[in-house]
Amino acid sequence: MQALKARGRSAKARAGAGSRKLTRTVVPSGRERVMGENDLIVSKTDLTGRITYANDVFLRVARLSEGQTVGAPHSIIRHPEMPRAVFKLLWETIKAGDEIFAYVNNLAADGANYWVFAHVTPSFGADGTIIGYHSNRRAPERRVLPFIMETYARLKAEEGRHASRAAGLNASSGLLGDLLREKGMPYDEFIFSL
Amino acid sequence: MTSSSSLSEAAILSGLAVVLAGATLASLPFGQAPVAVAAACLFVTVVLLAISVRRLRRRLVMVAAVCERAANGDLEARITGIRETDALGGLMHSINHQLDTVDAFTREAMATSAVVRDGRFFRRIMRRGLRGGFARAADVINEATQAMADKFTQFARTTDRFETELGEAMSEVRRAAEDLGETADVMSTATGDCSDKAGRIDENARTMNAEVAGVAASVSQLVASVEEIGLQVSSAKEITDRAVEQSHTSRTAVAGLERSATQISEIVELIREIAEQTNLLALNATIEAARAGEAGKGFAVVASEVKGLATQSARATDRITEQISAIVSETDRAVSVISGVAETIGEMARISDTIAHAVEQQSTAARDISESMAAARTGTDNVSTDITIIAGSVGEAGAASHNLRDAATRLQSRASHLETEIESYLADARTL
Ligand SMILES: Cc1cc2nc3c(=O)[nH]c(=O)nc-3n(C[C@H](O)[C@H](O)[C@H](O)COP(=O)(O)O)c2cc1C
Repeated sequence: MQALKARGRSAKARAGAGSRKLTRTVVPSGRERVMGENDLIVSKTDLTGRITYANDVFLRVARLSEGQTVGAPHSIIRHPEMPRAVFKLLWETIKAGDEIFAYVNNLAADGANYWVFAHVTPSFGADGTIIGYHSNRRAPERRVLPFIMETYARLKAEEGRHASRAAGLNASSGLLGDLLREKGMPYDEFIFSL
Repeated sequence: MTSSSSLSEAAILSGLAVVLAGATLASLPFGQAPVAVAAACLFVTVVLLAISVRRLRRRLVMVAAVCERAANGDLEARITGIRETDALGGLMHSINHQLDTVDAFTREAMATSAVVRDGRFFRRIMRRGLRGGFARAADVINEATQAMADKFTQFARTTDRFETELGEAMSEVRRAAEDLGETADVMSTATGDCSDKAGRIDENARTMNAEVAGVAASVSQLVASVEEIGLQVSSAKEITDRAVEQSHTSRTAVAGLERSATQISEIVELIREIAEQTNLLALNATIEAARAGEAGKGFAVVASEVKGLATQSARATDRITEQISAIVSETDRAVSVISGVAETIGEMARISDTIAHAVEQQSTAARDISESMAAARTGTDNVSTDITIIAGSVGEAGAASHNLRDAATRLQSRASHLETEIESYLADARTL
């Protein structure tokens, strides 16, 4: 059955379009799926964030087929409760050529959510330019999650308080910045200190 | 026939081909027709097998290409679109899994090292998802990072301490060098003054030496003249002594003369009494002659002549008396003059004694002075010598103070050079 789905380039492109629709339609069930202690969820994207590779663990946990995944934007597993400020920081960081760690709540195709500790890094070509991005996700430190959830909820609430998306994102990013200033650490050190 | 893999397809087909070949052989004794059917089936199977093997080869070539890319360090290489669910599919997933692990390890090791390279040490390799040798390698790298972090912290602490302590030490050195420079300047001025003064002292000592020599010469002359005076004073004493003696002698002589004058006065008195007697006798003779008249006339003449003689002798005695009184008064005066002279001489003798004594004392004093002068001369000679030595030392001290000044200046510049060095070292150390 999988062989059929992945057959042909045009089919893959259509699968991408279909998966965007899927993202919108998946309703969180409230059930949480917990990553295995030694699982490594891997995906690679092109420069725009379209998935070019997802390992079998990714597909298993997200309840997606390779055909549904490859060619789809990474927001295919976006959870509606994730604050946009986190992704903004993620993209700013990786576009600058740096790595970023982030606690991310993802949404599987079956409506279950799963928390990951994502490590997103640029992939460099032989000439040193960024040719795509890569993400390894590991089981998050459970102990840290309550704090993360509370923080994300605050950021999300801030984003909802503003008339325009841009203003909301700005305010939420400001809030994240305030938090880091309060802790007296840059983001990367802060996330590692947790 | 739908197959999940060209591998299982080929396996089934080759099995089928073996069966069909067996069937073909088995159908040989049954005549042409069964053999032909079996052979046709075998042919179709072999053709399908060939197609399947070609497809399998294509998949294997693709897998080999991915492995080759990975072997060449392209960690982006993955096998996608895995349709196979059999062993070949398993192999493909295994290769992806292996690449994911190597990729994860490489990214972790690289990112951790990059953070360390940028002088930060919070980052560790995520051990989750890494097993066996990867996990052990991660542990070693993490330990190395920790060790570096510790070293760095220690280094930073040491650098801090180094900075404060060395900073203090350096400013002290600089202050000391400045002080030293000032001291050297003061010393230089002082030695300059000293040198001037030593020069003047030397000059004064020479002058003094000359003066002392002059004084010594004068004192020697003085001693000589004092001794001369002494000699003369003693000869003067002899003379006065003799004069005193002579004055005594003349006094005795005058006393004898006085006595003789007194004796003469007595004789003259006697003569005058005799003259008075004679006069009286002449008078009596005249009276008698007168009474004797004419016979007496010649006698009267003699009596008158005797009377005249007596008168004359009386007058002569008077004159003698007068003259003796004059002599006596003259000798008295002479005696008193002689006494005065004797007294004066005595006084002179006493004065001479005093002078002699004084001269003696003066002589002793002059000798003392002479000795002192000799000592003074030795003293001034010594002063001269010493001052020459001192002047030499002062000159050396002056040169030394100049050297000191130079050294202080060099020290100052070395210190500030060292300070800049330390500053740039610390700046460099801080960027580590
Ligand atoms: C390599 C890589 C991995 C990513 N992984 C995730 C992920 O697991 N979950 C997620 O929601 N977004 C992920 N993103 C971010 C998405 O591209 C996207 O920015 C995010 O889902 C927000 O979507 P939105 O901009 O449509 O709100 C990833 C991006 C890259 C480059």
